[in-house]
Amino acid sequence: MKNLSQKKNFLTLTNSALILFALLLQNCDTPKMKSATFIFSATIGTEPLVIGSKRYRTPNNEGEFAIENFKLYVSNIMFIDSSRNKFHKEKNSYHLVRFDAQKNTFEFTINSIPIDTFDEIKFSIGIDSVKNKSIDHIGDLDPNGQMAWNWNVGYKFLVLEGNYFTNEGSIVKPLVFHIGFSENYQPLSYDVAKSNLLRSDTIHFNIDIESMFTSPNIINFDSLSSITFNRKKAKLVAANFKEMIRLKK
Amino acid sequence: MLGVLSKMHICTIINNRYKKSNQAVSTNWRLSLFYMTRRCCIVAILCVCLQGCNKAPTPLENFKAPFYYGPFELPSDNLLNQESVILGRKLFYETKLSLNNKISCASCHQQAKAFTDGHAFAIGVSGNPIRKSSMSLNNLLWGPRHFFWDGRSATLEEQALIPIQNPEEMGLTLTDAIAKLKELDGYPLLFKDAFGSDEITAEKIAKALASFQRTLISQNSKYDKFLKGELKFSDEELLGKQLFSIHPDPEIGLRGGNCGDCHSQFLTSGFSTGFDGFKNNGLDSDEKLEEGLAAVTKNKADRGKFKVPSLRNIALTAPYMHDGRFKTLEEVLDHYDRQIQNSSSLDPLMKETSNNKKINQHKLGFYMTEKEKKAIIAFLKTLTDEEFITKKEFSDPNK
Repeated sequence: MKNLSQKKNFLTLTNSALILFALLLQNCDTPKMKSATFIFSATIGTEPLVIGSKRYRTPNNEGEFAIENFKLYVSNIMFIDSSRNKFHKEKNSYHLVRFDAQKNTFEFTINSIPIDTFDEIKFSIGIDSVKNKSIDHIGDLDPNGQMAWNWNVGYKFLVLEGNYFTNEGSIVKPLVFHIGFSENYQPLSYDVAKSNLLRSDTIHFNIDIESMFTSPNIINFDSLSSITFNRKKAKLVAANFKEMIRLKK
Repeated sequence: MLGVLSKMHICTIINNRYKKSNQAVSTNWRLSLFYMTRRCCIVAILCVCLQGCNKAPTPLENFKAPFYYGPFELPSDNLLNQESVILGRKLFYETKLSLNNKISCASCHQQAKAFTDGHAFAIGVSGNPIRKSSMSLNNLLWGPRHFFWDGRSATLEEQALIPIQNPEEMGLTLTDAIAKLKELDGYPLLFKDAFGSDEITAEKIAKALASFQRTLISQNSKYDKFLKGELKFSDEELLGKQLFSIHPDPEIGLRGGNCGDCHSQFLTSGFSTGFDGFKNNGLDSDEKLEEGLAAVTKNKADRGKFKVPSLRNIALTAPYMHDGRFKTLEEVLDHYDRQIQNSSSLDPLMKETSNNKKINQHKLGFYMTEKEKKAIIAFLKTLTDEEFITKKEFSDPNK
């Protein structure tokens, strides 16, 4: 009995030592995993976006417009620590940023980021050419979703639908902007202050819908109120994507 | 089924009992292994015996769906299993679930018509027409996650009990429905197989009906075979498919029917996120606009918006729209072509879509040619799935 008791104690001690050793090893070799929450706000100039019947001054003529639908893909998010030459690319990085009634913000959280500091964030508006014609369900890509054209053409990168009320008052023109095509995939880059990521950090961006129609290409709704499969016109709006999303400091 | 903790508990009990009866415990390792093995066998036998009293549900056999439909979610408290589907199928065809014992779910959702009934409005126990057309039941694991034309049910389970109780439809209280099922042969055992006890509740009725309906997957139409490379379309069908997914742009000479901006390319239903799959497609002007989705969201901007239905088997599910106003597919295409009615909540896509560059913007419509409309209809007919409308597993189990 004494031998059995001694054996038991020895086993317990050995097991505990093994567990402690494993925990120590884990702490030494595995980098701490961090999270980052991206919050997108949408505005028209300085006015917050309200989906539905709220009217905004049109940027390039005398009139008003209202937005019923606004969505865009943000993809291939990367965190970069240039001083230490480290980076992390999010896997299956395809997020459909959408703004529904009564909410002018949209957010998502990226977990398991293995670098604890970064001074640059990169992502793109749209879908890269490899995945644009794929019918796999990766991230928020959905070939049966509202953003899918068909498997020959790929996805709409950005959708804006609404109504334009001309200065003459009674006439309403529909606004339909479906911007896609692989050549309009727009990489973006943001310098961020070097900061240690806490357990959950947040990064705010503002999407200014007005700049989608103003910079560098002027889009006047009197002459251009819809773009779908016209590649030349889609390029005009897509060129404005560069100025559309800004880091909120 | 016993959980792991239960098994450990029994191991401990057996250990302690064994120790008390055997004071001299050998330190020989082979003997220890023998004793451990014997203890595990006893535990295993006990587990098997106990499991036999409380049989685990059986996974569905032959459940499959095309990869291009995408992933789906099941409610955590109603995962699919064979017993629940068997029960749900029997309930679906059960006429005793109505006040007059003559109407079942299948009365308005007939398999041969892709689970519709061929009427604009069905007639229920009240003898009055129900003011909405019976929706086709297919591919319910995908598409909009709100049910009924106005989206008022957020789950299939919630939806399943409403027609049973509706005085215009089946007219039975849930209390009476349960009482009737208790007295009918076979149901208590079916409930026990599906849910572990023979107690019949409204919740279980709903779960079983929802489970059966989730198995109604249409995936073997001519279109599906085309997608899988098993056959070729005719020139007309190919043209129709192309027109279905193209948003026209007359400035660059691009012609299309733009169906794809509301009906998804593979499922052909409305979109699944939020209320993306609800649209005002220009059936009525403001004066005649029905509440539609606005009854659920309480947002006036949603008046006249209804659920975009799946077009699978559309050639079998006439008449069309939420009120069955169009008798043929030709009438449907004519509506989009020249008869769209403007209203305050008319979808911008309905206003903007046109194949005619010079059209006065007050005259709404897609302005397709007769050949183009015929081609789209030819494509829509490829969505008919003969296997779906004859499959034994979806049919009346009493016949």
